[in-house]
Amino acid sequence: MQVIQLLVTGLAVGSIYALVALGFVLVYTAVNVVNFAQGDFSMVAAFFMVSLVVSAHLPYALGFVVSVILAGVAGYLFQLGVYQPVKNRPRNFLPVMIATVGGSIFLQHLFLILYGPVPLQLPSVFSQQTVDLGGVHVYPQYLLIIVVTAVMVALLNWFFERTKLGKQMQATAQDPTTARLMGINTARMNALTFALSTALGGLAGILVAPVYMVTTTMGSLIGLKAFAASIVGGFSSVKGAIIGGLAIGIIETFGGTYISGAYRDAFAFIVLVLFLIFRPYGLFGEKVSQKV
Amino acid sequence: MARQILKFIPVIALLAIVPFLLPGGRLGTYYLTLTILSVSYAIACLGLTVVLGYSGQVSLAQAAFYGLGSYTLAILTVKHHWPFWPSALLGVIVPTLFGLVLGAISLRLTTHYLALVTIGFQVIISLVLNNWATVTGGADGISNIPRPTIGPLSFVDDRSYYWLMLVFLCLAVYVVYRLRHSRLGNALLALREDEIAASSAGINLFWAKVLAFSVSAALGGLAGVLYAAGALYISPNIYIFDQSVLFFSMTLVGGQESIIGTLLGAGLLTFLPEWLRFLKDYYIAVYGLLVIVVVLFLPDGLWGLVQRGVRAILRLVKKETPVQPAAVVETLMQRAEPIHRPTPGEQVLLEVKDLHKHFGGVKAVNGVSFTVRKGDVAVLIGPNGSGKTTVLNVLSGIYEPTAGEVWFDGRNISGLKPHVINRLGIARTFQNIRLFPELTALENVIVGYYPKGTVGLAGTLLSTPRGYLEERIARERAEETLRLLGFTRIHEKAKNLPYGQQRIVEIARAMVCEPQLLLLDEPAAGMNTEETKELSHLVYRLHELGFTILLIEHDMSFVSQVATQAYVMDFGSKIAEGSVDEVLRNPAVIKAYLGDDAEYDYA
Amino acid sequence: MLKVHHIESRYGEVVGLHDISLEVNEGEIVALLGVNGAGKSTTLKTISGLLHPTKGTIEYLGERIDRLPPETIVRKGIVHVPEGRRIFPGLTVKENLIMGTSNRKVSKAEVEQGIERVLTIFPDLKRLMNQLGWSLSGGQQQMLAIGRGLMANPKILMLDEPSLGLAPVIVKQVFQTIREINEQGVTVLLVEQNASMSLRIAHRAYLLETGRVVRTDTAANLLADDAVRTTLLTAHGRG
Repeated sequence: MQVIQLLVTGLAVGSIYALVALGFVLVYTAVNVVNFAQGDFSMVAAFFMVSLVVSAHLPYALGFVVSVILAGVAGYLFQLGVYQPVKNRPRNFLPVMIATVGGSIFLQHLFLILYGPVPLQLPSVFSQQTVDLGGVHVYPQYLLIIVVTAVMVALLNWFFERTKLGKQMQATAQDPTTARLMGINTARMNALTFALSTALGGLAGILVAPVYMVTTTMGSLIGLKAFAASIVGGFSSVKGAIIGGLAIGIIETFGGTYISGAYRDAFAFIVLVLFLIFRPYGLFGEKVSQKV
Repeated sequence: MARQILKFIPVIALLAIVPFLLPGGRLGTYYLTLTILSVSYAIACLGLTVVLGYSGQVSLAQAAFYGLGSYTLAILTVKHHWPFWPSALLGVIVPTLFGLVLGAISLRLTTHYLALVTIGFQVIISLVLNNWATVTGGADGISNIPRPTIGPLSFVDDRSYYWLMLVFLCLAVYVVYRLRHSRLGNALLALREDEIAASSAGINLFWAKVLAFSVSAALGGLAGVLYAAGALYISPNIYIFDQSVLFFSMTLVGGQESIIGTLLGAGLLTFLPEWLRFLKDYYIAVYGLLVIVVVLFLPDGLWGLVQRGVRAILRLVKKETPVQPAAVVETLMQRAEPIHRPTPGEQVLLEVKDLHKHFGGVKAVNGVSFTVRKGDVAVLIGPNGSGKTTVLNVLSGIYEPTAGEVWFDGRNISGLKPHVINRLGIARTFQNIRLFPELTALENVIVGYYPKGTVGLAGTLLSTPRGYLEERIARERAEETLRLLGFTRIHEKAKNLPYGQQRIVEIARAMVCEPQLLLLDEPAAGMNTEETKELSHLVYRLHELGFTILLIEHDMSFVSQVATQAYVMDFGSKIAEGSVDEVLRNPAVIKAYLGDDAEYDYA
Repeated sequence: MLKVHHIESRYGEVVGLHDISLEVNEGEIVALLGVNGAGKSTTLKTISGLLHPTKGTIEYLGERIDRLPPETIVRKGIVHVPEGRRIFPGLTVKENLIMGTSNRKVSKAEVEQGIERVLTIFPDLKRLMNQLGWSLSGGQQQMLAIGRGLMANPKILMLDEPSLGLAPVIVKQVFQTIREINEQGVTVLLVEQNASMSLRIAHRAYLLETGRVVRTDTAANLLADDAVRTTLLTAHGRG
């Protein structure tokens, strides 16, 4: 029975990583850069949620939606201020990476100023008691995380596969020049991609907030592990991000229980290094020859 | 050149008198502690100058190396009662070994993959320091770390310890400076600028990366050792990811490519929090903003800004006249009587046997065979997309062939790495010019001479006469080659040169080692009529000088002036061969170029 | 309809076009011919807004378009089918076609109509509708690229090297189709290395050399001229 309990926990933790990893993958496939502040948007949304629900007494569901949207807006502003100015530099990987690392430092400390260093508590809509499902004791919040993530993945899938806007975003990611020639406003598509990815990160932050505390640094470790998950998944594959995220969540939960609790945070990176050595292009990545 | 190192003397002298400039009392002691801290940060950041500034590899694990250095010293001296100096030495060696491993892993990884591996390493080291309590003392850390003595000299009090640190800072500056101005340093810069071009110029990417990471880790370890003995007490919360980010920021804010810039950045960001204290909680946010602002607006850091300012002032004062570019190949043309053009011998230098290269379903090269004899100027022609460049990329080792073989000088070279092929005597240029843009023209060509050098890291750091000699020879050979081609703006950064001149520099880089076979990929592309004419003289001249050349070209007038042998490709296969005039009369070739039209085939 | 007036265009340092002037009238097929590097593709890129001219003007239906971004220009009906086909590899054939309608607001019915029209021209695409772009052969990709261009309802269709890398049989088909499309009322500006084929379907042609127009005439006259053939085989007028 403990195995199933751990599996539920692992899937829940993994869902969080998967959502953030999806954000990494969306931005990477669209504009070929990595947003190192991706994880911090989980923190941003969680703080918004605390303000809206705990301080302003908004209904939980409304606060939830508004916070996710605000995280998207924050992502839009972030790309405007941090990504746009450096995107045209030659070999832009390094400048973009550094700018987003700077952005991450800035966001964390901005929220430190706004909310102070004391961790805040976001209550769950459910009780903190475990429920008994045929002998398996699980926290309802974990089930919520899994269900919401599943719904979100289905929604995203619908958006990218069934809507013209979703297809236009894909087209922009695959070949921006040709997309422009088709009349697609690629700058708008890229901004939208950033907003979508930070909104996903925000969703993850709100979902996980009742389990952990809300602190200014809660996003960094989630972000790093999600980044590892997206690389394990193949980095340019949506399916890979989800499976990579879930796998890391499960490995971490089981490893933390059966191998060593103290090194729980190391498992994601150990898995990552093993992958990079033995399967450098991840689960679903394709090896692409470098163009000369 | 050793005299240039003198420019660091004022900086060091200024640093040496810092203790006398500080106020007395507790404030003075406090500032001295901060100064000691900043010197150790500066040494750690110099490591990043090498790995990030020179070789262009991302490392977000400098705090881990710093920690490995500190903990090795602390554990050996405090727990095992080793004497100071052997412990300190191990404190440098242990992180260096880890650096070697990280460098080795980094060969296959670039950009974000590499960044994440270094972060992972950093996180794991932090966890180990925190949790392996029996060895590291866990969260409590280790206290009572001793400071060293040498014979009668004691470095126990803060001031003398500070001076001891300055000695090590000088050593670190020397190491980084020597490295930068050596053959190895050029290789690192080449790696940063363009991996494909670097490896085609004979640089072993694997060793270059391992070198960068291990030097960086050694400096990080040294900084950690000095920090531990300076602070007397260490605990794991110093060696966390955030500290790595801080080192990274320091290096960038100062200017990652400059030693003085790095020192400036380390000092500034150590003291900035003190100066921003009036902002209370806000200072760290301001500091994050500072990083963004520097990255957005000052890509070469604060020191770059200072340098640009100084240069602008100098220009105002001096009003130097811009150097007029000389006619490109004048010297070469004037140099000697026309030598008799060598007739190609019978000796086959290059033999391509039934070569195939497929990308997924696309058969870019589909069974091509041809030979190049010693003394040939062979040309591959064919319509766009017929697979010519792919052939060249296979010959130079950038692609592995799907099937077929390439024999060069009696040896099967198919599937060898680009730098190995270069060392066997095949050098190349690229269709879209791949110079190292931030390097000067001369430095670009010196990189081309890299394979001829033999002096390694030890020789470079010990400044052996042989090292200097080799560097001088490389420089002279590079200057001579550029002069031979009539190129004068040798100290101009490659990115500032006009297109035609960039091409000349690229050819110089390829020929400086006197390769047995020169591969030129569309040398006339993007050139105007005049430049093309000069280029054809140049290729003609190279041939006279004895070079064997295989080139790809679209410009038929160019081709017919220089080529001794032509091969025509279409759809990944060879459709004709012979002299240029012969193949241009070949109906199959006319069809490939002009299209399928019977009315036109009147000839 | 389209007037290009003495334009110069650069890629960074390199001057791609020195001085190009040309006109395209409604209903014509106009060919731009020249060897590699003569500036044919650069001309198309400048017209479609991917590059902005450093000198000169471009007028379309009496309106200057040389400062507009490509998204705006394609909305006006100038559709550029780029060199190398540039199919979106991860989208299906149908989705690629739908992307062609991104230059305007369309109803589902209009999209279906557009697809029907493309399928009458390229019936081969019908059975490929749900295949991903990368899995198509070169010829199929070219048909898709032209079809995708047609989905944009072009007034002027600019085709860059539609015969590139295609087997001769397929090339013939492609050229036949271009003529058909033109007969349906679409003006065509064609860039080609395959000179004789192009001249057989074009009404007029411009001969480009190192970024300049060196000759312009009716296709029939050019086709009969040996000098043209020589220029195309050997650059810089070497005889």
